[in-house]
Amino acid sequence: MSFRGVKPLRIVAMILAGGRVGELSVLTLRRPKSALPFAGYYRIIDFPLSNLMRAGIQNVGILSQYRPASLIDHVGVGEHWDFAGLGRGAKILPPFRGADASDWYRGNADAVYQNLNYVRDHDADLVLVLSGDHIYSMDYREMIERHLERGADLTIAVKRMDRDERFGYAVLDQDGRVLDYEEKPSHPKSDLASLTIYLFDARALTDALTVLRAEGGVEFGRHVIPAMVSARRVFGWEFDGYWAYTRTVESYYQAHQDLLSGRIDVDRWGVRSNLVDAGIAGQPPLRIGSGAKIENSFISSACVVEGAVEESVISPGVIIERGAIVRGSVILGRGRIAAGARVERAIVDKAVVIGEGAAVGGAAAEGGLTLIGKEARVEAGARIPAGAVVQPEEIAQSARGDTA
Amino acid sequence: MSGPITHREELRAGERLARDLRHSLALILAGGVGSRLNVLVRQRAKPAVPFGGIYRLIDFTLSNLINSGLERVGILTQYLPYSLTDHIGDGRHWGLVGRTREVRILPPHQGASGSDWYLGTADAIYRNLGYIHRHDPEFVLLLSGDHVYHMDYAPMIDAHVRAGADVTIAVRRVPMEQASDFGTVHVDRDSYIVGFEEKPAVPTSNLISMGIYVFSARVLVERLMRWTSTGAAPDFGHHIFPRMLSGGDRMFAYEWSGYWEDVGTLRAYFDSHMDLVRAEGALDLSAWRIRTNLDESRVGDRPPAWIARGAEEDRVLVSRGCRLEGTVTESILSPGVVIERGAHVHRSILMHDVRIGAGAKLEHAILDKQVEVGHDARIGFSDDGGRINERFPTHLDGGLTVIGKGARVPERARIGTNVCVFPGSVLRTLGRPTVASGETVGEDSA
Repeated sequence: MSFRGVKPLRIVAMILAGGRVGELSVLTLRRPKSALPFAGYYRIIDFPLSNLMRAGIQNVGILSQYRPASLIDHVGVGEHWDFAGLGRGAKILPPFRGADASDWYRGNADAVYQNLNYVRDHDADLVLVLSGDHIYSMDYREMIERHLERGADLTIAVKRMDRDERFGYAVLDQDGRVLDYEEKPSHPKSDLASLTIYLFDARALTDALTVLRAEGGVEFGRHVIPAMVSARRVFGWEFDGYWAYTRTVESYYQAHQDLLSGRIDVDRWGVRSNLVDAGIAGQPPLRIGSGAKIENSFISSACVVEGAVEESVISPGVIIERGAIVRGSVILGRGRIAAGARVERAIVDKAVVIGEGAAVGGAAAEGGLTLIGKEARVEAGARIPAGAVVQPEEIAQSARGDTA
Repeated sequence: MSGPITHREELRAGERLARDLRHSLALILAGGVGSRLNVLVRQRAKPAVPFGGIYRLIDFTLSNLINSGLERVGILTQYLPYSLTDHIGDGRHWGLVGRTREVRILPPHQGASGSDWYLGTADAIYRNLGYIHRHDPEFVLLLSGDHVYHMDYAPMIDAHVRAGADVTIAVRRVPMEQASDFGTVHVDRDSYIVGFEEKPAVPTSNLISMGIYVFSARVLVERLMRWTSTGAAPDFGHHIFPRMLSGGDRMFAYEWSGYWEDVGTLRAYFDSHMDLVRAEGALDLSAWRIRTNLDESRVGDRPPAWIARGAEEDRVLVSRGCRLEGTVTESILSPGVVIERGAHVHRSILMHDVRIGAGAKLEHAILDKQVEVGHDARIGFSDDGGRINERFPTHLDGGLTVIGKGARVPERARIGTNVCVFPGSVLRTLGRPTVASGETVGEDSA
């Protein structure tokens, strides 16, 4: 009689961190959405990476083809999320040209297909496919537990949402099995939206992608899931925690409001970041000078505040001079808001200087959010109205509204 | 007088200095007890005492080293080394990891000749001669691990080489009345040392040694073998320097006048912190590029500071993870400090994870890590006359109150000035809701 040893379950994660040019206007001209700074010290991808760390998943491939430099710097070898070490690893998987002439990823499923060797090399039993631009705290172990219990080929995390055209919607039976799935339908049949968090059986994933590749399928939502729903065991797993998607400038801004209202709690969620990246590690504490007035705001290290800050989130190294007012804004770091300047409902990218007495943005009634691109300079006394966009490195005298 | 040096000469001189730095080994004396820091050093060595919100004292020396281009460092410990060992880790936070870079903790050890505790600074180096031999440096830089300053050591090593010195001592001028706390030197016109006295009762010079020495390695090893190996000369200031001087060694004084504070007393420790929050304070952590270990105390995991609506802050240093709802003025807050609504904190140093309950008022106080102050408590009141501390009259005579790590101050308690509360004390169980000025309370576990 031979004894067949049990192999411990192996799980790899693949994070879809692609993204297109300019999805979030000037904020993503030079970085993918997943590398957008958030809540002072973090980048959006820190949320899935920290979730993985806490779930004990030790290997993650990050699929990125759009301007990956900031992502590569940020993720490094993954040591900040405990991915560094023997048998562990975080890897950026850029597009490559293979023997049978592959090139750019044509869709998120195509990106995973082109990196199936990552799954094979790790001898993975399960593949967790995540997005790099979601803000949430999830215990993947619960999802994995349910997946195994049900003997599923695919488990999709779903959440009750307003029915609109942004998501894919699943119809479940009473056992949670997906009966029907539609990607971005104009009239959703259900209010269970897919969070684009997929847990695949590795063999089922390989089979499905191989078949679909032959048929020209490139997207999970449009091709892979509908095909698997009819042929395989596909289940929904309902998540009821906070979840946000930084798909638009407005949703990115809203997530910061959720941080200020306490709906996002990076401390309690145990979110980690890379502090070496951008030199955060070497920075002194925040210095609040005399004359400062701060109300409900998060302010990072190496900032110096001598003006007023209200309902705002300030990244490291921002100088807010005497008499300056920053209200309802997100300032992404290393910038300077000069004396007497006023910034309202604006997202200000890194290393921006707002000159003395300049006025940027305005109240909601005056227009939309105002965006100031990286390393731009708003001249002293200039007026940048609500809803305007200042391009990276632009030297703005004054701008018209809605130049986006 | 030579003419202006050419670009080519400049490059060659730079190359020589870079080589000298590569051939230098730094040794940090981190064994100091620093007993005048009272409860702050009950559970940690002086170099591990927290400073400036997120730092420990040794961060200044370590950051100076890496900023000066020195990459091989040994740290000699003996007193309560745990927090220091944790803090240093493998040295990565100071960039001291790599093929040619390292930092090593060198604890006391038993050698073939049966050693035990270090008898003095020179003895500590003598007992680690093996470490020096292993690196075979040309120069050995000896430093203290507990001073707050920002110094580039490269020009000092350059000066040592140019002076053809056997040892170079960094010196500075202090008011004459302070000179007796230090080693004092007399120098000739060319800055060579012609007299050295360790802590003279009646100083005749106000030029003092900063405890920073560059030795030519060969000379250091030879002198220690000759004098210290016999047990006769365990200390640099008391024994080695006077003997070197009378023996004809070339001793050079490198005068330096930047910010430097030997935070050896509670008052100096407090005053240095106040230098941090003054608008034009002389202590600029940002420009100094001081690095620290953020993995400790979970500093790296904490979010930006949150300041609530209704909170008021004026001249405050605020670290990550602080949550402020009350009023804080002229104070330094380490990571994770929580100030509840209606609390007032004035001229105080609050270390990691201190919690100040709603409506509590404190001033002129140092609260070590994890101290909890209940709501409506008062700390630092002096309306009882503010007597100096009976048990530690030289430590607590200027109106400061210090509360040791993890102590708990119950709600509505009253604690005066010059009070010392030992670590871990829970005042409620002592049944003393009021601690008068000058008292010392709690168990002295040390």
